[in-house]
Amino acid sequence: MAAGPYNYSYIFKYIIIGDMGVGKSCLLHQFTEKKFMADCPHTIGVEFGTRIIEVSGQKIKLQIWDTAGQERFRAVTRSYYRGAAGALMVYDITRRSTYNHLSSWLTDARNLTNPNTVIFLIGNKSDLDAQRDVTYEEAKAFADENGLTFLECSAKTGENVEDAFLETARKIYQNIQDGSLDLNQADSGVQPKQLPRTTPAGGGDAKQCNC
Amino acid sequence: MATEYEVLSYPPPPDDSDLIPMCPVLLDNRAEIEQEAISQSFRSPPLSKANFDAMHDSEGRIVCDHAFRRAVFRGGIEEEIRQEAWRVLFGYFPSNTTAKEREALRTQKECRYAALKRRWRNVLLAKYPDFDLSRPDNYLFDTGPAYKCAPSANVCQAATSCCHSVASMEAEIYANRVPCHIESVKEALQYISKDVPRTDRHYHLFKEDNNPNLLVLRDALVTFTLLQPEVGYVQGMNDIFARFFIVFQSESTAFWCFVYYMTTVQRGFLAEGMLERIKSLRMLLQCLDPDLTSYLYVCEVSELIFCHKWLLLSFQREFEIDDGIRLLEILSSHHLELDSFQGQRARAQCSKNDSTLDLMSCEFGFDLFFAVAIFTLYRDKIFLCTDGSQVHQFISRLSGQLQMDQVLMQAERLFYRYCKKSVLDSFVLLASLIKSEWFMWIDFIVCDIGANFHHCLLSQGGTTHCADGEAAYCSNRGARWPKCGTCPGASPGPYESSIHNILNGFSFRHFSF
Repeated sequence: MAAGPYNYSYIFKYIIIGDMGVGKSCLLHQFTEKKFMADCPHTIGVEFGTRIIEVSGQKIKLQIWDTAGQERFRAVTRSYYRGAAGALMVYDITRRSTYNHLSSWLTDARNLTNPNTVIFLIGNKSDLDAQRDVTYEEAKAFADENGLTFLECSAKTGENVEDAFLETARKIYQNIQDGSLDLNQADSGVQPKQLPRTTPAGGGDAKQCNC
Repeated sequence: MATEYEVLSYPPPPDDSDLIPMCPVLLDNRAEIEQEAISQSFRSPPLSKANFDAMHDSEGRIVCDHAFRRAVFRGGIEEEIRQEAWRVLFGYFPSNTTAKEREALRTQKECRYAALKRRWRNVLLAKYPDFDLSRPDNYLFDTGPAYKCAPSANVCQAATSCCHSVASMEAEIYANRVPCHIESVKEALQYISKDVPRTDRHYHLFKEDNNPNLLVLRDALVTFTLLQPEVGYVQGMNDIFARFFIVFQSESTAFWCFVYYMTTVQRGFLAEGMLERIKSLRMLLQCLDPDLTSYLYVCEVSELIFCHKWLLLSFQREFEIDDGIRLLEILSSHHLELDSFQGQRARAQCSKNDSTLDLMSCEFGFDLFFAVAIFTLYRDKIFLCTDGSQVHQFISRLSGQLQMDQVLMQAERLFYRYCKKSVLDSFVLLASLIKSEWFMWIDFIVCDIGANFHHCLLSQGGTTHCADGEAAYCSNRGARWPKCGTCPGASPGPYESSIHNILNGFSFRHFSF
């Protein structure tokens, strides 16, 4: 379980949000495993994935939290928003209702993350163009209005998936470079490379369960 | 085997050592009680047909429900009798019904399910006649169904075979009284049709496209939302219903047992209930393993949100389906709950006839002990995680790795330990109360309730001379258990019981802990 050598400069924390069934877990799986997971069970609470990427020659570890989509779970998943450097907000291009709910997801993302959090809009299932229910132009206009970066992706074919995750990281990195993202802030969502802790705090003499 | 922990942890003892001998019996017997708790924790083979049959009387009633539940708790149920036993365990038949009564109940339930299902299908088809009910992934847009079909296809679908004519008439009346709004059906379908095609698809009963069992999942879940509109459909119910269907392979029986199960856990499926459950787990972990809780706090994961899945799904995703089903029956036996017969007995045994303040929260169901057991079994590994994401990753990788019986035995040990600890803590609390500034309050309470106090003593079998103890109590100011001055040889039992009653009855009213 030891962390091993830290061969990256930063950790960026991401969250993936959006309605149920839009393909959040599949996007994560495609990004971390480069595979499409058909019939992937729905997420309860949160799932977690990581991958190390490279931005401007710097190795960055992405720590990605994939959340449950059903409204009922928001009370539980909200606690994961805090300290996210990037938020991927996903809708399904074949289901308009998932697009219509974006403003409520955006409100949550804005309220619960810090002002520098990069929010990236993803229209998933671009492979199902025949069943399209939301046009690219409409979503692009929504993204521009709200200052979001936008891409249509397909977790199934992998189209643009890599780009969405990497572009978000580039933006975050840019924010670090130009100083708009303060790394000393507790909820910046970015951790610079740190040395492994020698003794886990509180764990040194705690090998015995005192129950 | 798990690390065996020996030392009990208490809140910091009152600094005046004079107070410690207050509960000498319990302190001296600590090791003994511990041993006893451990010896009570064991697993048995699953409940066999022979043993199950022996639990019935000649007319088919279960003679002792408690013995049945204990047997299920100890080892689960053999496959051969699982359906029959689950009908009792999940309230399809009350355990005291005879075989004859069960036949009538079965007819009633089958007809009622068919009628309920017809109810929403008719409402749906009246508004959207070209909705294709034969596609489990079909749902409704604002504009209409996602997949259309020729209306004639639905007519055949809607005609469900029905049973007894009187029963079916009764069922029809019953179903028509259940409110059914097209908007709710629409919403339920929208969610359910997204989840059904991704429910345990690797399991043989749900494999392959166009599997009719997917329609069963869909129909039963939509029908459920009719009966429990305030809960509605919540993701995760599909996983649970699938377990019931795997066991029964009968839509209506699985449905009614699922409905029963959901009534026992439904609070956990409401938004505030989810947070409450996680909070209860935090409290229990804090109580049973404070060091681990502190460490999780350092890692910024002490909120335990990642345990939500365990609690919501009764650990179904942590085990293979067969084991998951066994765990579901074991947890549903409710044999070892703080408010169960067995739980009360464990508490009574721990208190050994001494009076206590009962601070235990009965919200701590056995599933919470099961969750804490996982933490304590793997605590050494958790201490090696250097941050929250590692803890999260470690915990999620436990899925499929857990030894169920090992966790169950650990959970049982923790249960007894908690019973005992809460008893011991009560004494420490009482000690600190008497010692601390609250003493003023106790003084006040004791004076305030003088009449009741006297009454308590009498009702506890004390005699009037013990009333002098009241004065002794006030003058001793808690340095030791107040003795009854006029009766040196008297057993302290009644007196302590009185203190217990008084504090139980009054202290909680005067201030909360």
